[in-house]
Amino acid sequence: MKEQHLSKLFAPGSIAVIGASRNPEKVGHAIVKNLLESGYPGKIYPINPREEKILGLKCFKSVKELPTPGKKEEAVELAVIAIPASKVLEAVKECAQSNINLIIVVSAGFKETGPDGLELEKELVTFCRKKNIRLLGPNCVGLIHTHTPVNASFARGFPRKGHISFISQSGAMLVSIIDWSEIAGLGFSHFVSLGNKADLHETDFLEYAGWDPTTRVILCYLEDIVNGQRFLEKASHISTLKPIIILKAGASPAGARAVTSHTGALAGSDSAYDAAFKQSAVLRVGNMEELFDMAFAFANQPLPEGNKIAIVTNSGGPGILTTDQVEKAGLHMARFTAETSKQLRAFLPVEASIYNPVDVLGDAGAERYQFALEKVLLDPQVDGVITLLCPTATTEPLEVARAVLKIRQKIPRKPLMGVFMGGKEIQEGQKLLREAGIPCYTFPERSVAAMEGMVKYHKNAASLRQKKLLQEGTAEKEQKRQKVNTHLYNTAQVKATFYDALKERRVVLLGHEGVKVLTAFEIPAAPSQLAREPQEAAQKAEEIGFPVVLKIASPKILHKSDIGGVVAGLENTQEVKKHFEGIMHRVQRFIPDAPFYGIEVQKMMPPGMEIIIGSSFDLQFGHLLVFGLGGIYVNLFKDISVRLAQNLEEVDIDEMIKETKAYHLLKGFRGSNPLDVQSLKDTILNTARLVTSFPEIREMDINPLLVYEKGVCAVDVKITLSHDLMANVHPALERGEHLVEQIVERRI
Amino acid sequence: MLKKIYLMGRSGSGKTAIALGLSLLWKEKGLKVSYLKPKTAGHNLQHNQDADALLLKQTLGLPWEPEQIAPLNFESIYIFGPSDHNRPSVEKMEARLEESFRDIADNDGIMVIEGGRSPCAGMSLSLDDFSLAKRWEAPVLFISNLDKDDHLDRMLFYNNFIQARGLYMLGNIFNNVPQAILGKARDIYRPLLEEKGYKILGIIPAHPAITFPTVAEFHEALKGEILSGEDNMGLPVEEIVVGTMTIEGALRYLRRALNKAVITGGDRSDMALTALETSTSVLILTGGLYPDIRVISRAREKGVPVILVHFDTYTTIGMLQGIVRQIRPQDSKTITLIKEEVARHCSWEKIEEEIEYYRVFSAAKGQ
Repeated sequence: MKEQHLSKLFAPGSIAVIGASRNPEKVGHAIVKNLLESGYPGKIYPINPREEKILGLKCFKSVKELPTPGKKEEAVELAVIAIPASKVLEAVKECAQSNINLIIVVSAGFKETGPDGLELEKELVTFCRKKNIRLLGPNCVGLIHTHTPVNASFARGFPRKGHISFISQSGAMLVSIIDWSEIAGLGFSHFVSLGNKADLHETDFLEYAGWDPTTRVILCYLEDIVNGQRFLEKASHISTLKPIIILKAGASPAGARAVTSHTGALAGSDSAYDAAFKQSAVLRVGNMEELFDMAFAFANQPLPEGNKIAIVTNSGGPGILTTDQVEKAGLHMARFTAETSKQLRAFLPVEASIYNPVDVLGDAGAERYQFALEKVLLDPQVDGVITLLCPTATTEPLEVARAVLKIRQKIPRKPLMGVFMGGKEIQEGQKLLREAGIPCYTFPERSVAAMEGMVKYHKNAASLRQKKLLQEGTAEKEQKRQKVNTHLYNTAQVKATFYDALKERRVVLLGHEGVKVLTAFEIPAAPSQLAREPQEAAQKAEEIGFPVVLKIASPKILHKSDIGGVVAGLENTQEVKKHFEGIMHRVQRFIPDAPFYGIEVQKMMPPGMEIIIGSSFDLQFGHLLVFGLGGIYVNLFKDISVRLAQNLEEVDIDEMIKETKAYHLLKGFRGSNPLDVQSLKDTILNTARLVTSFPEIREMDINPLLVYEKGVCAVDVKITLSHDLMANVHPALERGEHLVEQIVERRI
Repeated sequence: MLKKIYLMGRSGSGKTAIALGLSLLWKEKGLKVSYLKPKTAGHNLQHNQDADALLLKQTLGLPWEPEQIAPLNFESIYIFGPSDHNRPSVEKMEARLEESFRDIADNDGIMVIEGGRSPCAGMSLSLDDFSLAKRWEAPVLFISNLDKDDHLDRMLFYNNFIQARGLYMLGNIFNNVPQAILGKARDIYRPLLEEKGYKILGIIPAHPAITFPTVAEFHEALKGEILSGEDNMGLPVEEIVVGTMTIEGALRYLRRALNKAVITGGDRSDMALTALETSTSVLILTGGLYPDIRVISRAREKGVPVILVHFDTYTTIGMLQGIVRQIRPQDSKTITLIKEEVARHCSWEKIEEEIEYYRVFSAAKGQ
């Protein structure tokens, strides 16, 4: 296997600790001590101009004074810096001179402290980039690799060796987990504290851990993601190899606010993270407990092939409760084959329940458990098993645990979990199971949640692999198709429409302009024209053909119908003229100061099913695409599904539609005819292509899009462009440069 | 006889900008230009000197002191009972005006006289713009904002009234015309006025750098502490968005508004940071709450001024009512832009011809 470019960071030849100290209260002391205690096999060079020896190691005045290595493998390949922020750059420069190109800066005092710190951090990064130095931190705890072993951090303790990589944006969280892991019996391969993420960030480490053979599961605690597009690309590849489980902080509005003030990063919307995780088969968990429950299960258990779960219990109540949880989680209770049932009936007492959940009764001993577990695990209809135990007078929890272990060894292919309900009585049994890698909980919910996570990951990763295979097979075909399509799209018309709006210093397109943009991208839309006067409106209505709708044209009015700015079903020129004035009066009464461009005359379309297709630009992940039940009740029903627009495929669109209740209406509900889902899919795809071809579209709403038995038609569209475009284009306009092409060149 | 022009219009109509633009163009043409602003108002005063007087003095290189250029101070309260002996009498005020007029009058050039914040202000003392224009025999150029139909009728009223007072009406300028009604102004308003016999000598579209108040004006109104962006106080503010909702709710409004002031609590770092990613000219943080340090970092990177005020959001909005653009002598870019806009959209040479025609005409009448 080709070595990954960050592998040296976790297994450097030798390490220099700049700012090493004899004072046990200093971070520079803790790092040297941790390195020594971790059993790091390379050489450790403490650097401090005022000391001779630190923790028995010879101390050097500066990096420049380090001895020339006898062997190439002994060269200093990593420097850990723990000196005041103002002196860090100087130290990094010295490292550069000594060809050290991996650096961890644990020192604080950078971006997190304000504008001056930010400047300092920028200088540091600029220098590192120039010299090809990779930098972890600043303001981080450091890193740990238990297999090297190396502990280049100032965290207290050293975790057990295992196969979980934990990448954390919170240093404190990492320190606590190391401490906790000892009593939880959880083993880790890597700990990485990301700090300010000035250079190396989550995706770099995901990429490394995805490659790293000692890592089976990747856990992340993240507050934001630096480069959404790259994250998505890497995560969707790594997910097909091993699970990535992420706890993303800031899911609630108040939490997002806290994240913003903690990291200074403008958090993307939570729905964007959700969509990104979904599309890259990343498991998102809601809390710390879930994160580590999943980690334990994934690290030690085989993946379930499907979602059919069996329960073996010694008491009815907990069995039923767990059954409820299984169904609630979207898993299924397995139905045993006749053979399994027959065998269970033959051996278990007559009062025992031989169907799922299997009740081996309160007096069950280890042997009965063992028999039932074996039969159930061997059943081809079962994908995973949960063993429940309540400590009755005759139960021997430890013996049952041993029986579970025996079965585990005999049948290792399917996930097996334990729920030993109780306290003192079951303690030892629980411990025995956990130490052998079998997740064992006190109550059923956690075991079901862990099982659910595993099932979900297995399914998502499989469909991602499938999609990739499909993509590879059809990449060329798709490329050709895209080319044809892009050629078909009238991009010049879109550019010209944007230009017209910008010329009038508007970033919000008027309705009729929106229609032009849609039709340019093959999205059918009801014809619409702008009129300033009643007479003009009447004339345009005649051109378009009756019946028509009149709509107020003002970028400041978001909800036109709420203020009487829309009149539908006009059949002749008299009606058009009359209602033109009516709309003007109403609008001026409600919003006298709203700039008013006129009234749009639009072809009135026959009723159809109302759908919304929307898009919003997310800072981290680019355009999001929203599909759902449209019309005026969008906000009430919130029947929507969200995906990222980039690389959206027809399979994603299929899923997207099926996720909503709207899908059931589309395929025909209670006697109504099915609607034209193919045209709808084309429209979603074209919308995705429109927003990705024109990233300057910041927001877009087609609401409603009418779906008919044959065809679709957009009747209202709102498009907001990026203000940066204005900043770039307007000076050009002022200089009299009327080149449409420039807009495209200058767009961000 | 001296060539004069009296610019009349309501507060915020852009009289000063037009006076400046016309003066600069005439000066470039080689004419001598002088400027008189008979009545200054309290809000226009900087260190007790009229801001417009200072602007024109410095830009045109006028030799007179600001106190000579703008001799009378008309605060919002200027009518007092006879017992108030501390106030100058009407006679004294008239004398002071005359003195300034005489000092500034130059027979070779054009004297640009700028009216008060409303043409009627001072009518009770016979010191309104109509009376002064009559006294000094100055032809009138009427300037009006034009964004609603009733502005046109108001304009018609003033035109009628000015003529009824026996003044000479040079014509009108539609100023700060928003893009949305530029077409209507040209195709409907203009012919309508011309049909009634009134001239339109210019239609000037709204321009963000001239029309809208800048961050500096916002700061002057609010005072408050400037936390960043001291160098960008000249950014125009076109709209005000109050950020008190959730980010997802606010984003749509933040994205739609150009060059805006965003007013939000100092503790709303999320709102402040989101606003900084959209077109924001100034962040006004209320409640005396210092923002997170990261807000300042980002604002500094983006060059956006951040003003911290101790009032609550509601009070802050109240204090921002009626803010108008105040052009300063150091805004050289804006001053050039004004000149260019006036040159492009006004018949400035025709205005001069009309002034000359009126001078010859009234001189002949006088003989």
